[in-house]
Amino acid sequence: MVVKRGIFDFDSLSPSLKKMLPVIDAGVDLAFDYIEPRASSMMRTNAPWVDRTGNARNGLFAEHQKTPMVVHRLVLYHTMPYGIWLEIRWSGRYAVIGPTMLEVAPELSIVVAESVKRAIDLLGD
Amino acid sequence: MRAVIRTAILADSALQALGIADGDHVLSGDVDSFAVRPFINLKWGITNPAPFGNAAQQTSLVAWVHDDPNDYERIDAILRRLRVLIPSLVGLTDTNDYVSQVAWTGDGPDLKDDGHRTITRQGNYTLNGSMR
Repeated sequence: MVVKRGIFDFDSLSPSLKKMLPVIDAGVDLAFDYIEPRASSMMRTNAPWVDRTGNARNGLFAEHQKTPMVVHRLVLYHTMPYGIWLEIRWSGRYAVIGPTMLEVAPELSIVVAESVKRAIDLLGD
Repeated sequence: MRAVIRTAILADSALQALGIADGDHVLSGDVDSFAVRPFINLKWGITNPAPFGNAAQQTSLVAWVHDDPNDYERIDAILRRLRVLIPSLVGLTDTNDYVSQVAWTGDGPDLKDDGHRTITRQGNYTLNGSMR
């Protein structure tokens, strides 16, 4: 007599996780888009030098760079060629990017956590 | 924390052997005075309030280590020593000051400071403790 055996695999976890990833990514995306103009504005407000032309201050930008579902980055930068010397000269006396990153990073982590939580809550509704 | 950390750096014999011999070699953010090479400039970042009513506050410290233009060997040695010394200050207190947590968050790249006419690298730290 032939005995046949089979295995039934019930996987309820993977489909839910697959649904979750785009939702989490959308939450992170929203948080970075919120912080991007805020970081630009913080740098322009807090830049510790006295303007001569205003070019250095107006040339400060933050940019949200992303590869969806892989990586999100917030890049802060100068557009004036002498920006590097403002960051370094006299132990960073006129530095604005490093100090702004230290200020923005904790805020970004809170906004990301809240935004992802809200996105997941909406998925559950 | 300013006082505790500056005092500990000045008292450290390994740093003294590397040329951080006295107060002329350790600045607290001052960039207008001439400092004897090599020197460390301690620059403190913003202070965040303690969460949930705790007493310790969170702040950041950037130790800019400068030397005469040469190679970065002595700067690297000073940064290595700071990486051991600063975290070892956890639990240290004096009358008004204490350090409760320290995390090294990385050293910066090789840079030139054309204001001081030195070569420089930074050591970065996040600290919890008193900030007056």
